[in-house]
Amino acid sequence: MPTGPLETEFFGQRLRPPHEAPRPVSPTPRKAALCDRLNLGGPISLVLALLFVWVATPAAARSDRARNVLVLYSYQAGLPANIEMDQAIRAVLRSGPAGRIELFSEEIDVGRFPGKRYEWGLDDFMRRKYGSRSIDVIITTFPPALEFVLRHRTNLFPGVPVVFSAVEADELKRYDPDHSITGVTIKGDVIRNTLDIALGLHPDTKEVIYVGGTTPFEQVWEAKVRQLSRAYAGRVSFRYLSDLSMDQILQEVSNLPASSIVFHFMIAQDKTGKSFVPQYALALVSEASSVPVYGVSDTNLGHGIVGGQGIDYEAQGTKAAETALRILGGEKVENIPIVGDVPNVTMFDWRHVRRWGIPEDRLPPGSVIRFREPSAWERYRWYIVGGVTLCLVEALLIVGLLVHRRMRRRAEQSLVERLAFEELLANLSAAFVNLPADEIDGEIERGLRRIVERLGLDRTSLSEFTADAKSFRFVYSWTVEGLEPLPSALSIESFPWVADRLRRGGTIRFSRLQELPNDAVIDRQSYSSLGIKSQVAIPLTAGGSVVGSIAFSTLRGERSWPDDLVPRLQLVGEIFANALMRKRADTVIRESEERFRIMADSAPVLIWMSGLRKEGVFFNRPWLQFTGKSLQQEFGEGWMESIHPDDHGALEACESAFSNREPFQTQFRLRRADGEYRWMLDTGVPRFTPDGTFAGYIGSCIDVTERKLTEEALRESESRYRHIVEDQTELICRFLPDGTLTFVNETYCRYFGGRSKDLVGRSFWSLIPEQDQERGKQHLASISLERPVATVEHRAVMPDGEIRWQHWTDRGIFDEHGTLLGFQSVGRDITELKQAELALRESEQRFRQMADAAPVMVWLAGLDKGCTYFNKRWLDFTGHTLAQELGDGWADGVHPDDMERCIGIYSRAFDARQPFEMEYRLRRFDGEYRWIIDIGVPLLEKDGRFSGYIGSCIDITERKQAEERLRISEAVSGGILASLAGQMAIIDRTGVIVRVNEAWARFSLENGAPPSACVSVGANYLDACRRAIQGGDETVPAALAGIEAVLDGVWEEFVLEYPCHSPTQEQWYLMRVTPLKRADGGAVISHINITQRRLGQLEVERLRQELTHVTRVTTMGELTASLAHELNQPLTAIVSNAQAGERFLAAGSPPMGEVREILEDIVADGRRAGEVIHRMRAMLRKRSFEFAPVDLNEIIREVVILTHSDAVIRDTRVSLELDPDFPPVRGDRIQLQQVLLNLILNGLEAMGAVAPTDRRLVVRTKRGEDRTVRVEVRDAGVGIKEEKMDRIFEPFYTTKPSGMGMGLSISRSIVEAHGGRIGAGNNPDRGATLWFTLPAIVDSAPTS
Amino acid sequence: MPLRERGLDPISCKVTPLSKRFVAIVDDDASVRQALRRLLASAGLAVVTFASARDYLEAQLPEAPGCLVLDIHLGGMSGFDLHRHLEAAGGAVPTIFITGHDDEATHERARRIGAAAYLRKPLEASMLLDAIHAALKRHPQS
Repeated sequence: MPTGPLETEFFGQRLRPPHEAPRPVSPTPRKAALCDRLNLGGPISLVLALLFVWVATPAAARSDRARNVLVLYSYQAGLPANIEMDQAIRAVLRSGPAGRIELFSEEIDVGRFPGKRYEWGLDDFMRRKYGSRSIDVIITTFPPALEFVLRHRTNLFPGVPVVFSAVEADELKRYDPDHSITGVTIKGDVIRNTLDIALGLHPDTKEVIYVGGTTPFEQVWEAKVRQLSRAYAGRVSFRYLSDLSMDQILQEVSNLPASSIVFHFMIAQDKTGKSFVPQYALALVSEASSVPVYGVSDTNLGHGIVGGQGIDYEAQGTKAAETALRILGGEKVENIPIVGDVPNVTMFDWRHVRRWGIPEDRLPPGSVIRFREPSAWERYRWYIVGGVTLCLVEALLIVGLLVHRRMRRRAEQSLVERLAFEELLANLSAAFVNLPADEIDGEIERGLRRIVERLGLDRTSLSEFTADAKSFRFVYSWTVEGLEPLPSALSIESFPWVADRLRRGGTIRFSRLQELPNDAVIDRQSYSSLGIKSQVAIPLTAGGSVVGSIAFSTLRGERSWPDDLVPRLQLVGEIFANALMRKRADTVIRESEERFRIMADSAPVLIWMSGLRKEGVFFNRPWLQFTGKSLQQEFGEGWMESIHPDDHGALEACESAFSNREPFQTQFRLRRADGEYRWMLDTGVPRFTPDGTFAGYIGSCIDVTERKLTEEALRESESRYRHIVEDQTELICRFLPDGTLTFVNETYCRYFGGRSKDLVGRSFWSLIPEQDQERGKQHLASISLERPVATVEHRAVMPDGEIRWQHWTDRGIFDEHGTLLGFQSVGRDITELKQAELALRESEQRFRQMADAAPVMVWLAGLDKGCTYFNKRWLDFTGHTLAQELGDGWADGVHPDDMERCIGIYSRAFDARQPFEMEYRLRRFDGEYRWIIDIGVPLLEKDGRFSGYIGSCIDITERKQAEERLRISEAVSGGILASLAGQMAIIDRTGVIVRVNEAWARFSLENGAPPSACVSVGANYLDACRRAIQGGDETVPAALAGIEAVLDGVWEEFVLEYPCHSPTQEQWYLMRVTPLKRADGGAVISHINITQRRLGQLEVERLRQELTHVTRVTTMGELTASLAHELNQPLTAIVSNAQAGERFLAAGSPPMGEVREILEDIVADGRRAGEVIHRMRAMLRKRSFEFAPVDLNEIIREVVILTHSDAVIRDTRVSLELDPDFPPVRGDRIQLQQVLLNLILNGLEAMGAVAPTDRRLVVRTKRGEDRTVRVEVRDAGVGIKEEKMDRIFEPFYTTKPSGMGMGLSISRSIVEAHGGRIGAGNNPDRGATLWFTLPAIVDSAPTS
Repeated sequence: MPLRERGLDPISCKVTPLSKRFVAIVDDDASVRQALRRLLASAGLAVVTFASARDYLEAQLPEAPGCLVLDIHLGGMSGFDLHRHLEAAGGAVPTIFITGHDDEATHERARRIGAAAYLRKPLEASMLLDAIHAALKRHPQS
């Protein structure tokens, strides 16, 4: 019955764990999808969002902070262009008037690493690095950085002005259709100009050899050169060496004919993927080249080119920085024109001009010649002047010259080192930019080690200040082998001067300990004790503060630290600090922010978080769903757009709380996605980082619109009340501005319990409680000539101490000059009104609170049957707004099939003012219909007036499903019970029958009662058993004991077979007692009539006995058959021998030897025959065969049944493959049974030594050849040895210790007697098949 | 397997030139074979004996015997099988079937397939020899 799995599946789909909270309401499917999309990134998008906090800071806040300028370089660090521009930009910004400027620069290298993956990694990196900073201007160099910024600006730097530089004017059109950026363009084509200059200097040139690398940047430029080359067609040809390895390039350029020149563009990477420092590569090319090398001069000059035109990077940087300054100064980007008139420079290397013998006067006018070897005068004039002036001796001059030469050599040496180090830096920065967080550790260690090895240092370490600011903790340190490594931490007390200097962002540098200043005495000692002889230590900054340092030290000797090395080490520190911070951020954020996000997004309220400047940094999913905006839109001040313009004041009120870091609560209207403004109760609390730093606010908003509406309603009712009490007798008084009463009326006197003369002349202020006085005074102060009448409500103390409320209408009395003389006041007691109002307000509020907090859905209906209120839970459930649900709106959510019934019940109950209860399906926010039980009761006012209905609903889907499941389960179990043929009863722990099946109930009616089954539901079965025992029933004690044992959990099951013979019939029963697996215990008792089985067993028993008999009988019969054969052979031999003898004798001269042999053989055969007879003597008996048509299949089935127990005992599977269309044979049924019995038993026995799983016997019937039928018995035993194959059918041949050796022999006799044949053979796989064939009876066959 | 055990009588092969008419006997009982060989020898017939049909076939006699005395019930390939096999191979030999299990069906079958004779065991010498001579006469070797 398939209900089991179906049932499971059904519930598997429908059931929902009860604790599962309903998902947040999505306003519309489209918006939900949008939200989903925005949240696709999951934790990542959140991380980005959290870090990506850019807020246009209010102008007021700007002046007092440093302005941040970010320079993005398109290519790797160390490029001369970068360095030149960096210097120029720094120079301009330093001198700028715009106040303190902090400069950040990134060699983002997008030119060398194009592709989305790197870009997004970079995007992430920038967010993390600059997320907490407001960048005021971005300067880019070359197109790739500009492209990157333009692609990521919206996310990374929204609204930040961009100043580009080193971009061709033509290219600019691609990026800036709307002039939202400005900057500096390159004038003219430096490549073309360079080529023209070169060709001008070498007019005989026939071929230009282009040398360049394979990076995309280089490829782009190569394409430009290729395009440009067309202009020279017919004049010179171009050949390109970019598709070669460096070695091949060098080989090529070394063998160039004199009629060619080399145009070297740049090689950052050769064909084999090997990276080069471009200047170094140029030097190689230039050195190898057999002809002059020209190139764009800006970056190449000084490294091997003769000359060329180049971009003036200094000018580019200067102009870009100046533009940035204008922006910082407040000018609008769109008002600053693009600078297009920066001229290029034409430069030559004097050394190479000389090398190739180019006359200087042929150089283009205005060319700059660099690297001119100074003349003796130029070079030494200061020494000469000094010598003349100071009368130094010539020897001194010589010394000076020598020193200078040494210095030059040193400078050359340092240049080489610097290049190598820069290559290392470039590799490092490239390696770190994209490095996954978990590889940072290893990479930093590797990097530090490489730097130390490159610079020949002894130790490097990366330390951080511990949280208690008491020590440096070494995050990484590496010391060369053989020297003592650093401890894991050092106390700051030992390095007070160093720590202080580092904290201020200063660098430590000393070549000898003596260079340390005097106030670093302690530090010097500490260094000395650590064995440090020289050091550079650089502060590591993260998030604007110094978090640690990176130090490079020597221990084995002193070392000088060149000026140009320090900024490079700083760069190293920056790379590592970034990587480290990135890693930390990764870990921390992954852990805590993810937790927070999940918590926040699952919270049923709107949650926001702000940064230090009140800018929004986080909004949870419910918030975003509410406003229908994206996180990006809400960031910063974006969320303010959703606040009702009139309510901005409410936010300003929180400012003071914000500055004092105090919690605040306010209310404002927030625009929902559907455009409706909803009142929000916003509670904010300051949040602090774990170290106690104020980090902003976190707050939650609750939709209180309904509450607000209620308040409005209250106010209305309040004013109604006021009208009602209007005609009460009024309190009238007059008083001076200071409150001194000048007149009181009778009512006033009565009210305040005094006489007129006691009251007049006194100030009424004393009657007013302090907390109301201020309000009263303000109220009076508000009365003026222009606005002479005003009302106020306040309390006053009655003579008996009671405080009562009054409502006063005060009119100012002025003289003709407008001077206030006093007030006339009319008042009345409003205490009851106030109390009622308060009570109402409280009760309303209590109701709302209760209703909203209640775990049920609550609704209210008015007199018109239309609903007037739904609590939050209802609205959460349906996902509708109150406005949508009011009136009949809620009915839209009712399942169409339930609608009519519901409306009917509701209307009838409503009209009768009767409570009602109904169940129906209501659509949940997610579209699923849930079963709801809705209980409504009429709402009666105190005076018994009917005022509508209040109802509450509970989601009973689970209950319904459980009920349904129970019902199905009941039905199933009932069906199962009913379908059982046996009698079945379920008893409880005490033995009382709780349920019986029909068979049980029927039993006593049909059968007269068996002793154990005559009790029914409600009766105690155990007692019934005990009674039966007293009645002398012999089987019951065992049954009782068994049931009790099962009930007590002693036995897992109890089974008893017992006879229960009725007068007419022998019957047997099987009783089975199974425990009920449930907490309450109990058991299932079944009685099954096994009479048939018993009879079957008896029948089998009888058959077996018969078989034994048959076997014996047929064995005798077969012996006879076999005997005939066995005796025939010796007889044949005897007769033939004898006759042969006769014939020999008759021949006259008999060969006597032959005759003797004949006689011996006759004797032997006679004995043989006698032996056969002797062995069978006891069994000899005559039996006649009864031949009749028989069905072999049927015989096989019979025999298989007979041998079933043998097969079972031998663990063997017997299978039949019977040809259904098998013709009958003529034969003796019993004899054929015997044959099959023998073959099958033989097969079973043959498998004794085989693993039980392999024991398989197949009996197969099929048509044989020549109108025969064939029966095969195939075993899986050990098979028959080949040499025994022919003998197994011989009589008395046996391989079995217990066998007589007759079985197969007899079978052979029988088969042959039936005109058939018997045989055996081994199977191809395993075991043997014994077979026999018999002639089939077919229509055409002659019958005998 | 050694020839002797398979029942091929090498001596008979030697003394009896095969060019002369000879009789082949196939019977799985050694005593019967020996006795029949003597009986036929006493009648001056050259005899070759085989214990099974397979032995007969494997011997690949250079020429076919003049007559084949064939036991029907042999282990493995039966007498009928051998007869059919020889017929199919185009080497039909006049065959005298002998059997210890006389029944109508076998007799009928032997008759149907054109046996030279069908004799029950124990054999009557005169009947056997008559049948052999008749067979040799009826099917003179060409």
